[in-house]
Amino acid sequence: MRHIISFIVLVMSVFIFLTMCSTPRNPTNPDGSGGISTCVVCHTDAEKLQALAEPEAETEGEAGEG
Amino acid sequence: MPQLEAWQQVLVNEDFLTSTHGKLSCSSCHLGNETGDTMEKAHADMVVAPSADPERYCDTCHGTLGAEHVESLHASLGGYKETIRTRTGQSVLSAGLEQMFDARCAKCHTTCGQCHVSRPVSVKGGFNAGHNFLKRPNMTLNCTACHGSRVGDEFRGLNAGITADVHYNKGFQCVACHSTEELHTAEPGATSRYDNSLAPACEDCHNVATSNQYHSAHGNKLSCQVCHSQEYKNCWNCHVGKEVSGITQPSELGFKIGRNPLKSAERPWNYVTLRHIPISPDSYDEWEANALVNYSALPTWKFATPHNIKKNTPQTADCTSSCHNNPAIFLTQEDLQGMSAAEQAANKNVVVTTIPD
Repeated sequence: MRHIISFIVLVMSVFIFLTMCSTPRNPTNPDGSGGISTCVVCHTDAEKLQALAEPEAETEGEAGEG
Repeated sequence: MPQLEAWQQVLVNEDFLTSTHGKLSCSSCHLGNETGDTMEKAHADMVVAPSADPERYCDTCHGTLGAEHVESLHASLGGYKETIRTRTGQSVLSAGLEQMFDARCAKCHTTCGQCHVSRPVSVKGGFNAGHNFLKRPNMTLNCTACHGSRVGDEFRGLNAGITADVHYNKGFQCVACHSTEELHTAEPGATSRYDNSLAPACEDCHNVATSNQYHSAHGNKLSCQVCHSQEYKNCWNCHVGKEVSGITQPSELGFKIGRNPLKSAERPWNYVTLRHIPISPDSYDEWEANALVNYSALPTWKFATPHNIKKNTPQTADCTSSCHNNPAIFLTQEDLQGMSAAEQAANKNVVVTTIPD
C-alpha cells in the first residue's frame, strides 16, 4: 500500500513539475521559437504604444438607452 | 464618461499575462501575426473583438454561454427591432430600416468582451483593467456606459434635486439585483427586457405583501415604483440621422402614473410609472420617409422602472393628497393635449380617466 501511495505521489509531482515548465509566463511566438510575442512586446509598453498611436479626435462617450 | 486615449485603450497589464486567458497565445483569439516586426504586419488579418463570435472563441472553454448570449436581448437588441417593426406595421423591417438598424442601433449590442474585458463600443471601447477578464462587469465602465442617461443618472442621484437610489447608497452594483442568468440568457420569444422570468423583483428581497397597512391596502394594484420612486427623466423627439442623430428637445424630469401597458401574471398591477420615450412619427425619415405608419400601435409613455427608489417619497408623504384626488400625478388626457393625433391614439390605453378618490 505504501509503495502504491509513493508511486502516486511521484507521478503527481512529475505531472505538476512538467505542467509548470510547459506553461509560458508570457505568450510566446506560436512559431515554437520561444520568443516573446510581438503583441506582448508592444501592448505592455505604454511609451511604445503612445509612439505608435495616431492622434485621434476627442469625442465624448455617449450614454445611451436608459 | 471620458474617453481613453487610443494607446490607453489597448495597453495590456503585465498581470494579465499570468492570468488564465493571458496564458493563451494572443493569436489564438486575435489571429494576426505574432512574429510581424511592424504594426501593420502584426495586425494583418487580426480579429479585434473575438467574442463577437462567441461560439468559436469563448465556448471552447465556456460551454454554451456564448451561444446562449447571442440569443439574448443584450446581444440581439431584439426588443428595439421588434418595437420599430411593430410601429411600421410590417412583418419584417424594410431594407432601409434594416440598414439604419445596423448602422445606428446595432453599435449598442454587447459581446462577451464588451462586458467582461472592455468598455462598450458605444463609448469607444478600451480595456477595463489592462485586458484582465472581469467576471463581474464594472457598473460604471460597462453597465451605465450604455444605460447611463436614464438608469445610471437616476441610480446615482445625478438628476437635479433627486436623491440617489437607496440601493446605490447601500453600495449595490447592478449585478446585485440583475443576475448573470438574467443578463446572459433570453426568454423564448422575448420582445422586451421585461420578458424575462429571471428579471429582479422587489419581493426577491423584501417581504412586502402584508408588511404594513399601505402595502395591504394597495395589494397588486400598484407597482412598487408608484410609491417608492422619484421624478425621472422623460425624453422627446429623437431623430436617427445618417450624419447627425439625437434628441432635439431637452429631456425633462417628471413623474406620471398611468395604466399598465404590460399587464401580465408577473406584472399584475393596474397602475405603474410611465416614462415618455423619444420616438416621433418622423424619427427614421432620413432612412425611410413615413415608415412608421403604425406609430400608434405602442404607447409613447412606456412602462418604466425608475432606479431612484426611496422608502419615503412625495407620494408616501400624504396619501390623501399625494395621489388620491390629485390628477397632476397621473397621466391624463390633458397631458396629451398639444400632441399629434397619432400620439394621442398611441397612449389611449395608458391614460387614467378616473382619478382615484
